Parts: sequence; C-alpha cells; structure tokens
Amino acid sequence: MDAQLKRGLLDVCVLAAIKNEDSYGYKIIKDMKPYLEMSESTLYTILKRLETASMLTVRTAEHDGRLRKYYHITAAGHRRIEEFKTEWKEVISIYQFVTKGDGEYA
Amino acid sequence: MRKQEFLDALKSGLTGLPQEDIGERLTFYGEMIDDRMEEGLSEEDAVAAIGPVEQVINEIVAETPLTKLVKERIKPKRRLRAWEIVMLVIGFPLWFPLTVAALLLVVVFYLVLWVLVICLWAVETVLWAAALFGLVAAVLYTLRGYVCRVRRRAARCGADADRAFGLPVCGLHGGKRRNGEACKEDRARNQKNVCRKGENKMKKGAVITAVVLIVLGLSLFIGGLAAGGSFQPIEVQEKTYTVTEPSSLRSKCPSTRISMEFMRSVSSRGFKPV
Repeated sequence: MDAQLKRGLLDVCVLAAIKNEDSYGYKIIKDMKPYLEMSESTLYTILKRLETASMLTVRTAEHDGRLRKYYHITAAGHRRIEEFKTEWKEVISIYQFVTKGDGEYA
Repeated sequence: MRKQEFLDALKSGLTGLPQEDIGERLTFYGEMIDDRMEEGLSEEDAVAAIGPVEQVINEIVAETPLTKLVKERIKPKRRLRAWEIVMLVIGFPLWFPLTVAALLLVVVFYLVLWVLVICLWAVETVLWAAALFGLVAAVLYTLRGYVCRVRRRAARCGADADRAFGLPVCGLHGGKRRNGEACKEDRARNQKNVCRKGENKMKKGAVITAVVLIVLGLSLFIGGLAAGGSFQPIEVQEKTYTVTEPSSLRSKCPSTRISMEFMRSVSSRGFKPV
C-alpha cells in the first residue's frame, strides 16, 4: 500500500483493535495482520502518540509471572473512530469518481 | 540470538537517547518477545520475528525527534567521583571567597558605569539650572532698567520712586543712594545718568550671559542624552532554531532516504550543534 495512505490508517486501526476489549502489544499486531503489516517500532510510536492525545490509557497487569502492558480506549479514541467513519464516506465517493467509466478496463 | 543478547544489543545501539526512552523501548520489545514465546515460538524464532537488531535501532533512531537527540548529547553526564567531591569540600575556603570576590567585582564594575552616567546627568541638570537662573537674572536686570526708567520719570515728576512697582530695587541699584538734602532735581538727574549707564550695561550683560548659559545648557543636555543612550545594556537575543523531524520529512518526500549512518552518528558519536 502507498506509504502515505497507510500512515493515515495506522492510528485508527490500532484504536479499532482495542475498541471492544483491552489488548496488549503483540495481540494488536496479530489482529491487524490480515489488514495491515506493522512493525514493533511503528506500533510503539503509534501507541505513544495515542497516549499523548489521550485516546488510550495504559495499565500494567501481571500475566504468567511477568508484567504486561494493556491498552484501553478512551472516549476520545471512540470519537476518533467515528470521525474516521465519516471521513471515509467522502473517500468512497472519491473512489467512485476515480473509477467512473472504468467499466471496460476494471 | 537470545532475548537478552537482543536487548543488550538494542540498549547499546540506543545510546544517545534519553534514559527513560531507552528503558521504555527495552520493556516493550522484551514484552513482544515474551508474547511470541508464549504463542509457542522458540526464543530464537521470537527474536528473529522482530527483525535484525540493526534495523530496529535504525527505525527507533529515525523516529526520535532530532531535538531529543541533541538535548541528550548536550546534557553533560554529571557523575562526580568520590575524590572530586572530597576536593570540592576541602577547597571550599579557597574557591568560595574567590568566587564571591569575582562576582562582587562584576557588580562593582557595573555600578561604576552607572555612577558615571549619573554624574553626567547631574552636571547637565546643574547647567540647566544655571541657564534658568541666567534667564531669570536677565529678566530682572532688564526689568530693573525699566524700573530705572520709570524712576527717572517719577523723579522728574518729583515723586519718590524708590518703591516703583513695589519692587525692592534698592539693593540692585548701581549708584549711591542720596538721602536727605539733595535737591530733587539733582537726585533725579543723578538717578537718570546712573540708571541710563547701568541700564545699558546690565541689559547687554544680562542678555549675553543668558544666551551663553542657554546654549551651554542645551549642548550639554544633548551630549548627556547621547552618552546615556550609549550606556544601554546590549540586549541578547535568543534565537530559536526549529529542527524538522526526519520522520515528517520522510512522509513529505517518500523518495528521500535520510542516510541511516547519519542518524546513527548523531545518536552515538559526537554531534556538534549548529
């Protein structure tokens, strides 16, 4: 995928991964794998950025005798997802414009 | 590569970043490796799945804003050794008074400069006062001449004009005062002559003095202003340099490849701030 496009989608994807239940680092990557490939360092940066923007909170919990960080979405995070859904309606109409009259070649 | 090897390599590769950032990264990657191992991967495979250490280091460094790296570089590592602390304590009676003396010298020097300025202003003020006094004196003298003229007229008319206009001009009169018997005509004549001569001299003298004093006063006032102006402390302007983040650069110009070597050299080796 185009790097620019991908960059805009990563934040929302991570938020979606923790939307329904708290998740941890590796699980987020796994959940996103069918859709977007993400490296650990990229994930780290995104998680840090979302935390600064108060779209998620972090808590450390014990798991199997070691500590693990769990990420929890906030109201701001939910709002961001809603924003994304609205924005993409426009994207869809642009897509339709781009593919207009492509019938023969599609 | 085993987990600890990976983490150690990562730690050494990230020197140049702030300590807390390094700590956070190490926990994060350690967690990732542990999670993969939980899934069933072997330690080697878990580490391998993250990717080569070099690449990870490059990515991290590339994403750290340049300002953070520079700040960390500039911050001196203050680790005072034991003997240094002892030396500082022992030498206290020596370096402390010296430092205080040096500071006081600076303060005194600054004060001396200000005293100079104050002196200039004081001189200038005094001259203004002198000019004003000269003006007042000129006015009074001229007035006295006028009064003399009135006195003459009054004397001609025979009236005693010593108290003309209520001004006590007795003391200022150049001529001797004739009292008692001198005939009014003589008195009037004498007064006339003395007044006339005195009048002209006084007028000329007063005007010249007033003009000279005013000119002096003005020139010194302007000089004082100029001197005072040049004593203003030089204002140090703080310039802020904005540093563009390499990651933002990358998104704007995806085809630009910022040399990884450069990024690494910034973080680990010497960096001379521009």
